Amino acid sequence: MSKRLKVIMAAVVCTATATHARASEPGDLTALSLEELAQIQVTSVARAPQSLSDAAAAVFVITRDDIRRSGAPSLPEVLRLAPNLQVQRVDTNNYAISARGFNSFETANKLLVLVDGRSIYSTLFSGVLWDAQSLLLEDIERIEVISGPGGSLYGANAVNGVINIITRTAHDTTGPAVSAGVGSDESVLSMRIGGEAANAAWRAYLRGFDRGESDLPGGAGAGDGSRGVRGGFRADGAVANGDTWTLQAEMFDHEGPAEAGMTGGHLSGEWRRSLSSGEIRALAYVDASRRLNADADERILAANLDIQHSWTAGRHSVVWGGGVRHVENSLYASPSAPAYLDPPERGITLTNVFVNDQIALTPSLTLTAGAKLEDDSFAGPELLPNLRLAWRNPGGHLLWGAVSRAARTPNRIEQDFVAPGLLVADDFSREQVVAYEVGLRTAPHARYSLSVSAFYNEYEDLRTVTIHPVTILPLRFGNGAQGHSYGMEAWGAYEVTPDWRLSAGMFALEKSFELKPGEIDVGNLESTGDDPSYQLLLGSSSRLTESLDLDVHLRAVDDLPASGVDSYVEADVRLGWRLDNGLELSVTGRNLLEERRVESSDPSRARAFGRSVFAVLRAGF
Amino acid sequence: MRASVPPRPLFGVLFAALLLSCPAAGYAQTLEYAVKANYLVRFAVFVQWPSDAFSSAEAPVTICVAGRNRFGAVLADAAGEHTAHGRPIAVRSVRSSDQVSGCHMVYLGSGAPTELAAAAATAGGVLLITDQAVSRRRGAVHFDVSDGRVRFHIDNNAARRAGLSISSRLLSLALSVSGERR
Repeated sequence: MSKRLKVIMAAVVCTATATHARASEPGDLTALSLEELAQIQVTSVARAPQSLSDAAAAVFVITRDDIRRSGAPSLPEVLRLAPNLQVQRVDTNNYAISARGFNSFETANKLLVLVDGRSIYSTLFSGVLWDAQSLLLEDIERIEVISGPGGSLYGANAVNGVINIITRTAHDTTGPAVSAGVGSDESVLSMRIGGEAANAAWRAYLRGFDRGESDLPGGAGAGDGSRGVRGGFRADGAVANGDTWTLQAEMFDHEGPAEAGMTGGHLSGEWRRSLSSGEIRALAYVDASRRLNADADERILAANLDIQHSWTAGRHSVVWGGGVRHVENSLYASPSAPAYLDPPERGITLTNVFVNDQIALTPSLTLTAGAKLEDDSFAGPELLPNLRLAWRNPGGHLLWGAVSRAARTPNRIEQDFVAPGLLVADDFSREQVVAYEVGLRTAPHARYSLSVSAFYNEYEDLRTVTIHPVTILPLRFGNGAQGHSYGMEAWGAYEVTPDWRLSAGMFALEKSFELKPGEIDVGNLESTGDDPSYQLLLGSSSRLTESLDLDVHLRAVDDLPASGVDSYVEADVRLGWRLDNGLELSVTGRNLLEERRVESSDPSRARAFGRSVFAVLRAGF
Repeated sequence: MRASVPPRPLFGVLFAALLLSCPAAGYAQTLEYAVKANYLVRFAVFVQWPSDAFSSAEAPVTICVAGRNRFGAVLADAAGEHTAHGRPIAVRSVRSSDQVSGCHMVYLGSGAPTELAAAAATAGGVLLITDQAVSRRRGAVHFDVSDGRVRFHIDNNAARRAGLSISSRLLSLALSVSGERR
């Protein structure tokens, strides 16, 4: 469902002569940025030129150029560009990433992450296993980062945010390309070939990485180096009646520390048909993976089908549809493991139906009313409504507000976890939030941009670890915590000259959580995360000479109060030299300010990282 | 300075009926040119002209359309919504090479005279924009449709010969950039 947000219809009215057109609200082309203009499908009828500048939500976009100029070797490092995300590196392979709080390796469980519409969060613990996401960065078109509930337009787990990763269409990647990166921490080799047939285009790619170990907080090597390979294929095409399709397949094989390994792959197909006043699209995919380490053998087989229909009628732009996702999950713990899942095998079915109506009340005032009915094997049906209002002032600035309800489905650990004598899962139910948001976004302008948003979230039924009423042990999961958080996010950019762009971004977060009357939490509200109260990002992107680029990124992150992890300031610097058209050599220094630093609050997993350097030669990408 | 927004009395009630009666091909083509028109207006913002390209501090950035104008009112409407470098954006049609003077951008539509194209390609301070849908001729910016989306190629040497500097943000969106990137 990655493109549900994009389905606001282009209200372009044609007269009998069909030579005279005038854009009207919503989706007025005059409010679109250059990048948004470049995304508009012009060959099919009524395909939606959705403008992110029209979206009544806090959306930060990472473009392909941003990714290249970040010099980042992996996807989680790229996500550090988003001011509305907290990115914590835990160890060599693992990250904790969240929006609007709840961060730490085990509690970052309120984010939906999509790759071309394919949901990649784990139903085991509701987080994302970032160590398995060795995506080919060069072929990512853009990443949309939405902080706040995704509303009715996104699937399950979009409680505090959505990361929507969109890879390039095969039509844009028809040439051969290679990128070789060598660094003190990591080496990466990426290759791609592609071509075009009559009505279709394809690409095939291969990426390998080799990552060095991190340090134990004391300074000794942690032995957590890893290596892996990922290969895939994508084809895009059109058939005679104008329908378009996308077919993707991918496989990966990673080998981690202590002979731990993960393998997996997916097969995904999307079909799109244009109707006279709208569009129907269907996305189907199968995902399979296996993780094997000393303690457990986990297998996942997931099948997913999403269908949506969008149309415009009068002042209404309606999207409705539904999806079903079935996950067959098995986790067999080794006899020596301290905990296991009971039953070890479980089928989980998640279904949803949704409707979203965007109503142009006046040319400048747009009301969006949506609702999603979510049902899952663990917690039963739940209605999640949201209401959004956007007003574009005569100067083109957008003022928006939203109220939405979201809920997090219980995961397998919360349902089936057993640590004999110590903890058993009980009847854990959904965690819930009502989110109130307001925001302001400036009109698209060549020289500057600014987006500010503020939120107040009211949480209910958050996870606690409580005692057995009589015997105390074994402990059990409960929904005994509640509370609120509020904060703001802001980002902007200013082009000083055509060759020099400055950017800044920040978030500030305040949290207040408590136990419901009569409840006990042995975990001391651990599930509410351990978050910095602010993060500040500064960037400078410049062209020094005709062929030299210099990019500097600074970030300051406040301390983590619960665990006492220190606040920090870090700098990444990249120097890129374009030798000729399509050939580029770059050197990036990362984490340059501190020699060694721990970023994560996880007591057992946290590792230390220091300065690193990464050199990349690329051609064709 | 902003042009007044045209009234939209029919939108709402009649909109659905209009859309349904609109032939699909006409719609797609109309949208394609609406996108191109909006690109033209954005280009004015992302290109730096030498100061002597303007007759006065208030003079507008002038977009000239040579040959057949398929943008209709969309181009003028989009231009009215924007400014570039603190200047308003003006749109006019040109029919012969002697009218190119005063143009900051020239879009070559179908049927534009060859000598006009040559004059626009060699004039200083003029960004020549060509279109794959019209001809193979390539100006500093060349529209092309890739995967159903309107994109463009940039010939930065041609732009520099005309004394123009193209912003990195525009270059980063181009399907291809030939010549030096600065």
